[in-house]
Amino acid sequence: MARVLATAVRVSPWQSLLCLFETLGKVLAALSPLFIGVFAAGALKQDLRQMLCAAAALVGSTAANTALQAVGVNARVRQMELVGHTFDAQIAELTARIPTLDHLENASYLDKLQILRDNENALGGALNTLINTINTLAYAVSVLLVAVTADWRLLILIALGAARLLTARWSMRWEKAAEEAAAAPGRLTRHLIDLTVSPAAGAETRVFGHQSELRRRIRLAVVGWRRPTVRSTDRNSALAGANSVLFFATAVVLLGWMTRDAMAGTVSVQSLVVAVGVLQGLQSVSSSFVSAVGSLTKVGRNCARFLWLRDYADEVAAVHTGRRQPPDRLRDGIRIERLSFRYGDSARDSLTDISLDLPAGSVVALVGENGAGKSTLVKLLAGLYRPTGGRVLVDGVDLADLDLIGWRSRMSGAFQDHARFELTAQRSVGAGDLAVLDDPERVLRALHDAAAEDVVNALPAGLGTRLGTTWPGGVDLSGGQWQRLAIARGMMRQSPLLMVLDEPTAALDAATEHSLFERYAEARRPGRVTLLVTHRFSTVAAADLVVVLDQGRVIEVGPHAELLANQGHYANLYELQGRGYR
Amino acid sequence: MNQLRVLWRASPVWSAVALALTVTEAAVRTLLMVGIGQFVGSLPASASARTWRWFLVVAVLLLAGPILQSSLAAVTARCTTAYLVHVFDLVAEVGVHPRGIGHLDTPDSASRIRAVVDATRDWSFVTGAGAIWLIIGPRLAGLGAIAVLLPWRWWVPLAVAASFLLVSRVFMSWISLAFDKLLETTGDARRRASYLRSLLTRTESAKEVRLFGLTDWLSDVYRSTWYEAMTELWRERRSGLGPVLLACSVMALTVGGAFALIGLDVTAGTVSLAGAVTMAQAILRLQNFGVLGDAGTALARSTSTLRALANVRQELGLPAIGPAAAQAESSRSTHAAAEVRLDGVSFGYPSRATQALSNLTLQIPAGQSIAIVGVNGAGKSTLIKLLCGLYEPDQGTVRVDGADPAVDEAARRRVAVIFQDFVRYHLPLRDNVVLGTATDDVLQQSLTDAGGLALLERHGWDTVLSTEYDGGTDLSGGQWQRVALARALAAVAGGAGVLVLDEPTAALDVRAEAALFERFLEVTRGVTTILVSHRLSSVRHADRIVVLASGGEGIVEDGSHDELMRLDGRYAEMFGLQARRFAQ
Repeated sequence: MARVLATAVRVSPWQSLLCLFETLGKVLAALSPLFIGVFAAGALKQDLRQMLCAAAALVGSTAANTALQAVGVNARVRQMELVGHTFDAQIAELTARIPTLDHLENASYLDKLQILRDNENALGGALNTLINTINTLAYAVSVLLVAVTADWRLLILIALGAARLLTARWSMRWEKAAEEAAAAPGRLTRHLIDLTVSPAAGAETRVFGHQSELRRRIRLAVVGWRRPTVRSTDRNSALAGANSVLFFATAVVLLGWMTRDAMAGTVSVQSLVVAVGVLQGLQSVSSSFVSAVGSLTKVGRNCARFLWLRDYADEVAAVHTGRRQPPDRLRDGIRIERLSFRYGDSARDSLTDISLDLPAGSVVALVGENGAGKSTLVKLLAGLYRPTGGRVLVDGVDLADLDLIGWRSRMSGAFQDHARFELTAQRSVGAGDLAVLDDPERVLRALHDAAAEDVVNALPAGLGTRLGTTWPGGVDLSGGQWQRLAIARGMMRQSPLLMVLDEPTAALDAATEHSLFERYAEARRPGRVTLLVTHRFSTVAAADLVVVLDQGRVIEVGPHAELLANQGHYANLYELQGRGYR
Repeated sequence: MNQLRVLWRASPVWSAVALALTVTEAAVRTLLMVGIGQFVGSLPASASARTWRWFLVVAVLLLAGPILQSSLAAVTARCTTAYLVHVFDLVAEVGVHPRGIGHLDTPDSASRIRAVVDATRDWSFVTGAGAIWLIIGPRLAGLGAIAVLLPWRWWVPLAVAASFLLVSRVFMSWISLAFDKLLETTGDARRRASYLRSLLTRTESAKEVRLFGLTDWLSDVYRSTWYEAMTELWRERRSGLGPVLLACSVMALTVGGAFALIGLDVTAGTVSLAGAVTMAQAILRLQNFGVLGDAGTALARSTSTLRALANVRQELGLPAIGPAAAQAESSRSTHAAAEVRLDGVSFGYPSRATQALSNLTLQIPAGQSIAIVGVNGAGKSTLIKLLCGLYEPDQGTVRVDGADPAVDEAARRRVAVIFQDFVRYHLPLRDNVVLGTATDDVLQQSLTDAGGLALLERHGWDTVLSTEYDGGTDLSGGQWQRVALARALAAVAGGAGVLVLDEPTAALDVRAEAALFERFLEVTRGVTTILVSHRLSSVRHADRIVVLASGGEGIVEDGSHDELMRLDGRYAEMFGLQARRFAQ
């Protein structure tokens, strides 16, 4: 929390000061019962001067208060945006800097961090809450002072706040439970709403006639998302009601006592007027302490989430201590030794005891059916997962001893589930090698290497065209076109040590696939390993080495011809696919 | 107020209860002012019976307040739920109601729809839904204060209230300028910043962000995009503050004047102590016409979101705040195969310069299985979308069993399709196969025919197909494709007469693909089948193969596999290319 405040002061000290204008306004507002009391006393004494002084003070607590508020709100909102952004940027950076991927594929992690990740400005909201809390507290303290000047007995009412503080714990527990119970249906609501406004999902919704069913599901999801909140509001308002009734009942008794004294002349009319006027304020004193604790807890929770993320990032970074830089070129190649991997809480291994030699300068094909573990192996090679057993050796150096960023900067690749970078075409491809991000020649060469020139040729403004229809002047691409840009991105880096092509041609037509395949074969370079991952056997015949995976194990390894001659699993599948062409 | 009307539409009962509670609470507050005045005023007279009587009134009113407030909070929560259900339905309707999908992929309208969806996710939206009662209540209490002051000098409360209103108006217009501008002028730049941030945090881009080391670069671009958008906005906001401060000075004069008048009247003896105390409270209470803090901000923001939503809806021909009349749910009357005809069809996307299809004519007799092949960009996907009635052709006609699928819902429901980017619902397996009601037989049969029985055995019907939910699971690309296929087959079982498959086996492995096509004829018997595939080994089984030229120039070859091979044209060339890799 201190971090949020410190950040606020750091990003803009002057604005932070202006935020306090609002606080000053609150204090003036809190004093108004006192001014009214003075005014009433003046009226009783028929003292015009006293009444005019009180009137001037009351102007301060209304007009000046509003002016201060306007300036304060402007400063506060700006601070909130600025601080929110500062943290948003840090959160995004931290998330993206975590070198592995497990955290993005884990439900409990997502639950924890959804608020930070998806709600931009979560911590800006925290600052907002914090400033509001300061304001309410300043108000509360001023009210207390006013009450004390009126009559000491009013302090008894503050004691009742203890009951409130005790029950506040329940309220917070209810609220937290509601927040957690609402998370999953809230997520579903977002997902379903996104589907209704996505063109791709919209097409399917219409053809299948899902319109009203989808709307029905959204209604159900919203109800499910709100139900915990309604329930916790019921409980909280019943509790608050009970507390308030207790408070005012006590207040009535005290007022009665004061009234008797007033009649006896030991309590002044001014005190009684102040007492009556300050009651509402006094009630909110205890509740503002409660809500201050509540909002600070909430702020604390979001801050804790942030700290958790930071710790998590540190933890992951601490696990991976490798700092060695990868070699300039591979001498021997990549060696996989008894490698195993299991997803977080999965019951069985995704990969079991894999041992392989990927010689430098070779093109290796990794084939296998769905779920054989091909993509998992690729992610292990890229350091996106940490092996649960065994190791990967790059020219004899354990991948765990290599600097991951350095290693990845010497990799390149394209994936079937590629990202769609909705930037200009130039940058969407150029992102594959940031050093030459804005170099059109290099991008054109990569497009050539990916047989994707015609994708860009068809764009209205060529490489300068913005991709993605939700942007002004943005252009829509088909799935196949996006995929070819993703391949081109993978072709940007000049001399990777490891080139991974993880089924990047699944959505492409025969001619494109063919021309790409020719280029893959040319991709054979000394000092580099090219890994083709595919379930299409036709693309692998020219590979130097074919590795067949089945249910997380290597079942066959060898050159294409040798595997065919062996009449094993590979030959069987090759025959099956080739039959279609005979 | 727009919001009240929407609330009323969403839940008349809860809105009425909330309104009744709000009015009662305002009355209690007003009476309390009078009660306190009379109570204090009676003190110096030391007429104890009268004092105690007013004391009792004050006591009862003090106790009534919190009870009303608690009830209002509970009712507001319900009201807000009904409101959100209603508004999200209105948003969903914007997406799904228009017959075509043009509004979702034309940049201009898509970005405005997206802006509305994003605004509904802002904190102010949910808060704003409940904030209305926090605004109405005080304003009513302000009216009560005017009523209390009227008998004294009728023009004073009006002048003071007017000055508060002036401040409020100027303040609110400053706020709404600041936030409407947020939605409009800087909307795209801010959205751009959010998008860049999402590239850093989302799973979809995670792999490539790490592989290509994009973290620092994306962070920098995100930061600079954000600052650029916001700096402009901050300047605008600050310059709007001047009028607010001016209005505050006007207000200071009227409030000060009013108190001074009371003072003069007291010394002149025309106003009693009781009156002075009541009126001083009432003048302060007139502040309720003034600025109302965060609730006001939230309300202003959510109102402007509602306005944007209403505008989008009206442009699409939907009622602004109520759902459109339900469309007649057409049942698929026949179960026979459908005939498909395209005559002289031309079509170009609004956002692209070139035509996607020009002057295409194609007749597919009922029951035929036809394959469409061609290079990327030949217009295959566009052809499918036209056939599904998702766009209206610029020229020519599309007919399914003689009816236009872009106009006639029944004709569209005769089509079942697997798109390349089919939907992956974060819902149980059951709903991913049939979203809606279906018999277990249909579900079971469809999934079996799609080769997905293993999925069912492993996960069961009720497992949510997304790891973002407790107990959920994610499927591989190939498994998802089976689910999508099952979805289309279930639609056929439900009466669709044309089955369109856009690359149905792209993510399937060899064995699964072979198994699928082995049973393909059996599974699709009695239905017209249109297959789009790059894999010519699967295409050859079709009765008829149509080759589309690149650049949407129409059909260049048309015939069975054997005929086209004999023709030795493009198809034969492509087939040869693929087959060569299996020649040893």
